[in-house]
Order: sequence, then structure tokens, then C-alpha cells
Amino acid sequence: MPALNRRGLTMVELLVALVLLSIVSTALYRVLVSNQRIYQAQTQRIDMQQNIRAAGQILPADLRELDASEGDISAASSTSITFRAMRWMGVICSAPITGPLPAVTNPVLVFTVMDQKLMGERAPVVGDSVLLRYEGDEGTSADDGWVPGVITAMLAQNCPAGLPYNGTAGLRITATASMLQVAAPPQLATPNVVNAIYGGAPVRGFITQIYSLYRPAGDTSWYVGLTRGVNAIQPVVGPVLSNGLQFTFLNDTNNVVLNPALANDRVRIGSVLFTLRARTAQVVRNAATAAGSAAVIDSVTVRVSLRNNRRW
Amino acid sequence: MNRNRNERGMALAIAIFALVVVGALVAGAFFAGTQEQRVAENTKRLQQSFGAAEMGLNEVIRLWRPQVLNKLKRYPSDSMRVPLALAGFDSITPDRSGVFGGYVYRLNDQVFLVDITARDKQTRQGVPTGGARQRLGQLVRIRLVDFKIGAALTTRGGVSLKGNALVSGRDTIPQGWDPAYCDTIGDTTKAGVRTPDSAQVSMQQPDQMQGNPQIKQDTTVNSSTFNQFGDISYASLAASANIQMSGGNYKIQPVAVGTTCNQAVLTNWGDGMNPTQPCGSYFPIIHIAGDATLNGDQGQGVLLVDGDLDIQGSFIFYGIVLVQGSLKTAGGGSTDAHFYGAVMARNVDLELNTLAGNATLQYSKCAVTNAMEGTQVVTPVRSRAWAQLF
Repeated sequence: MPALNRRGLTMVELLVALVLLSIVSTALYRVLVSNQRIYQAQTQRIDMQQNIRAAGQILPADLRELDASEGDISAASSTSITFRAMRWMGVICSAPITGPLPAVTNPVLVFTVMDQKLMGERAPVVGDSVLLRYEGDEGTSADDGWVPGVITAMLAQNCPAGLPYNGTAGLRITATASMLQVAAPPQLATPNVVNAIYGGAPVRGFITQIYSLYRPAGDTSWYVGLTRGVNAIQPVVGPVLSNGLQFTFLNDTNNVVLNPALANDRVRIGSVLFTLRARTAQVVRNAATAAGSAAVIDSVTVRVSLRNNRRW
Repeated sequence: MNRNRNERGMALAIAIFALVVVGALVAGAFFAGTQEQRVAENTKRLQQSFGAAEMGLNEVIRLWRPQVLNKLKRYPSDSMRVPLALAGFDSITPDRSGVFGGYVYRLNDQVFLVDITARDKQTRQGVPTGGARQRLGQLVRIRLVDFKIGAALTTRGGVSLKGNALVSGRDTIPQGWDPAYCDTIGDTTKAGVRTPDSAQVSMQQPDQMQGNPQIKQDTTVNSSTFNQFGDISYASLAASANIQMSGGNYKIQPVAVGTTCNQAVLTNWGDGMNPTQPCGSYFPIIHIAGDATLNGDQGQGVLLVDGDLDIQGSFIFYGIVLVQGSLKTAGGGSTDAHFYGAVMARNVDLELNTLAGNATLQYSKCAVTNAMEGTQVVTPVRSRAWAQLF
């Protein structure tokens, strides 16, 4: 073919092609960007909702097992709660010797827990706090209670031979106890009497735990923090707003407890109501208009009835 | 034609690229959405199984069968599958959102552990995507009815023993009862009569009263002795009775249909004379709101009489008898009234308890224990009853 017959694009054709290409590209870009924003927005919302849902599961799981009437809540405010978090429960096959001196308020109690009925989140460890069921006078349940103590030593040791335990595997626990005192409440008839804690008595292990609103050093975001025992606080839910965790404490008649900072008021707590206000970790632009970049906020309110308050 | 072959274009490539990108984003969004939906579904199922487990705990307490569960031996020697109504099967919650089942363990004389595991409905139907399970425990305690039994007969008024009447505080296992089910440790001998005024007790023969001591003068016996039993009042005990009857004249005897004890019959108070028969393990609480006259044959459990109790002829009762008025027996020859266990007659109007003929009041720890175990229901322990067992 002769070279003169070769034809290129005219300027008009080129311009038309460029214009069409730019229109298509722009439209495509907008679709892609819009899709990406929707994706990011949805991901952020999902993360936030997961956070809220987690808070709605984690906090009630710990709080519902409390007995505020016997001091399980040791501190409380609108943004924080310090409490006994139950971790395990067992059954004593060898009862500790109690008494005979009521004046001995901090005896060392040695008892054996059956391996078979050791239940809970984890096994006992030295340093755990415990609560042993105190029967006292068999003829009445008015003096029943739980003796607090701290595990100082543990040793694998079988339960007593013969019925009913037949030497089944066990764990001998030594604990320093704080025997119940005659006081109101609860009114206990005979503290530290002989044989006040029976074989077969349940024992519960717990640690002190704190849920609080906090902001890590150097961070601009707020979180729901968890402090377990002597460990440092760790974020468990977040980010949340600066008012992202708010506790309200109600008594058995659904009235707000006047001053949860006071021990006398805390023992009246019958249920805990908390509101969690979470936000997305990143700002989310409006996908349709591309206007207004802001974090999306959502909240949940959960009310937890304390299952273990003293019943009379 | 040549010119057409030489044409170049990007439309197809761009379109494919765009479709891939958009498709990836859409797939990502769908994936995230699906995950979110699954998490939400799991949360719902977790809540359903938790609710089913809590309901299971309450149902076990509500449907507590003392005759069965109170006789459990101590853990780990014994345990009982619950719910009892559907042995071997889980129970479905009323809203059909979940199922529950578990075990009852007796930890010691007072305390039981109810251990319930529940699952949501979808798990029960075998949904292959897994399921939610919750295990909860509840510590329950036998509801204390502390009669403070210190004698074969406790009374505030007078006691008159005539003829061959006998009151004995010596522990006796009723005839035909298996000693293996009787606790004979301790409490082997009680007083014959416990009364605030021993001068009101009279007998024709010195050996008509047996026990250690024969007569125990106890000035603490007062109206509350007959009204308040530990944590339970007479009124609440009467209100919880299995059998409610008005005053009247009755003949009491066990009624069984085949191998089943017919507990719907009000005059069926169990079969203490034949412990292995269908009604042998039936220990009701019987409340009679008025004066009652009994003309045979037998019964067992806890008998509460608001007025006077008059026994005509032969009648045997195993367990605890609490009479707010007067107890009278009459008979002779081969017919007699025989009480195994303990009797408390309040005698508020200071009438005399008259025991004549061959009447015998025989203290029996075994009868008392079985009556108590067979009638006492449970409640959650005073505090910290509830536990997440994981």
C-alpha cells in the first residue's frame, strides 16, 4: 500500500475519542470510589457493631453472677465498676476445721476440692480468692453465708477413702480466711463455730476485676478497659465515645441507687444498667454525596439482673 | 478489510477491569455482610440457649420430687438425670426456642447442685453449622422444716396413759422397713414425753413411758414450738400440703393402679406397711382443716391437723404428726393406734391427751427422716446460688 494512502486520526476524531474516554473514565472512577466508600463504611459499621455486641456479651457474663448484697461490688461509679469476677467452682470433699474460738477471725483453713466437680473458666491458682459456703447451724438458713479467703498453697491430694468420695483425685487448698462476723447485714448467729463448713460444701474462686472507661496514654481514642487482678488495664471494647461507657445502678425496686460510691448503697444494687456508645475506628464519608466525613456512632443499653444477691 | 483489522481499542479491557474491580468490592461486601449475619445469628442462638438453661434450672426446682431426689446419695456416689418427667430426654422450652437437660447432685445433707446444659432449637435440630450451648448451675437447699423433735410426744398440755398405751422414745425401725435406708447414727434415744409441766403427765403403769429421760420437762415448749419450725411457719407448711382435707371422718388406705400409686385419691396417704409397694415411697404432707376422726388403716408423711385428732380403732402412721388441738385414741383388744416417728399435740385448750387401749407412740428416726426427705422441697441457697459452669 502506498504511503500516501495511509490515514491517521484527524484532530476531531482524536478529540472526540478523548472526550468519550474521559467521560467513561470519570464515570467508572466515580463508581469505583463510591463502591469503595460503601465497602469501607460497611466494614467500619460491622466492626463497630461487633464491638457493641461483644460488650453486650462480655460485661453481662461477668456481672450477672455478682452478689452485691454481700460485697461483691467493691467500687462503682458512672464510668467504672470493680467487682469479684467468679472464675471457678468446686466441691469440698474434706472440710476445713473451724472454731472453736469465735475470736479467731482469720484462721488458716485447709480443705480438699474434688477434681471431678471443678468447673469454670479455669482451674484454681495460688493467689485466687475463694468463698467457702458456711452452713453454721443446720437448723436454720438464716446464718448461711460464704467465708472469703485467699489461696496461699495448693497440693494434689486425694479425697478421703471410703464413701462417698472413695479416694477420688483432689486438690488440697490452704487459704487464709476471714471468718464471718456478727454484723448487720448479714446477721450471723455464730461465727467460726466448730464444723461450720461441711464436707460437700461448694467453694467458689474469684479475682478482682474492673471495667472502666479509659484512654491509653498517647491515644486519642477512648475504650472500655478491663483490669484483671494485678494486671495492667487492657482495652476490650472500642473505640468508644468519651462518654462511651455509662453505668447506672438500680436497687430491687428499680430505683437508682443514690450514691454507689458508698458501701452501704452498693449492697443495695439489684441490677446494673450500662450504656455503651461506640464509634467507628475511621471516619466514614457519605457514599452518595461524598460530603460530610464523620465517625458513625451507635449505642446499646443492657440491663443485667444480679442473680446471686441474698434472697432474705 | 485491512483497515478494520488494524483498529485498536481498550473498551473491552477497561470493561473487564472495571467488572473485576466492582465484582471484588461487591464480593467483599457480601462476605462482610454474611459474616455479620452469622455473628448476629450466633448471638441470637447463644441468648436462646442461655434462656433455655435458666428455664431448666427453674423447672427442676418447680418440679422437684422429694421422694426421688431427696433420697439421692452423696456425690460422687450418686446422681439423677433431670428432668425426671422425660428420663433420658431433654425438655423443650415452652416457646420451643431451646432444649435443656442435666443432672442433680447431692453435695451434702442440705445442699444439692442442679447442673443444666441447654442448647438452642437449631442445634437440637442438627444444623451442621454448629450451635450454641450454655451450662448453668444452681445450688439449692432442702427447705428446712425444723420440728426440733426431742421426744416421741411433745405437748403443752397433759398426758394421760391408760390401759396398755405406750410412749417410747427409743429409736425403732418400723417393721418391714429396710434398715439400709435408715440412719441409725445418733439420736438413738429421745425422751418419752417433752412437756413444760411434767406434773400433768400421768400413767397407770411405770413402764408405759420409755425414753431418756422418760419425761423431759422443757419450759421452752410454748406456742411457737407448734407454729414455727425453723424457717417455715405452720401456716406456710399447711399451705404447701399435697393433700388438703376438711375436718371429718375418714378411712385412710393406699390406692394403687397396677404399679402406679394413685396420688389423686385424697385418702391415700402412702403405704408405710408395705414400703416396696407402689405407694411405699409416697410421703405426702396432709393438712386437715378441722377436727378429724380416722377409722383405719394407715398412712405416712407429715400429718397436720388444725383441730383435734381422734383415732378410732386400728391405725398406723409413719412420720410426723402435728395436732394443734388434742390427740385421742380409743381401742382395745387387737386393735390399736400406732405412730412411728414423732407426735406433737399442741393442746391449746388444755384438754388432756388421752391414750388408751393398745395405743403406741414410738419414736423412729427412720420414719421421721423418711417423712422429712419425702416431703421437703428445695429453694436456692440464701446467696450465690447461681453459677456459670462453662
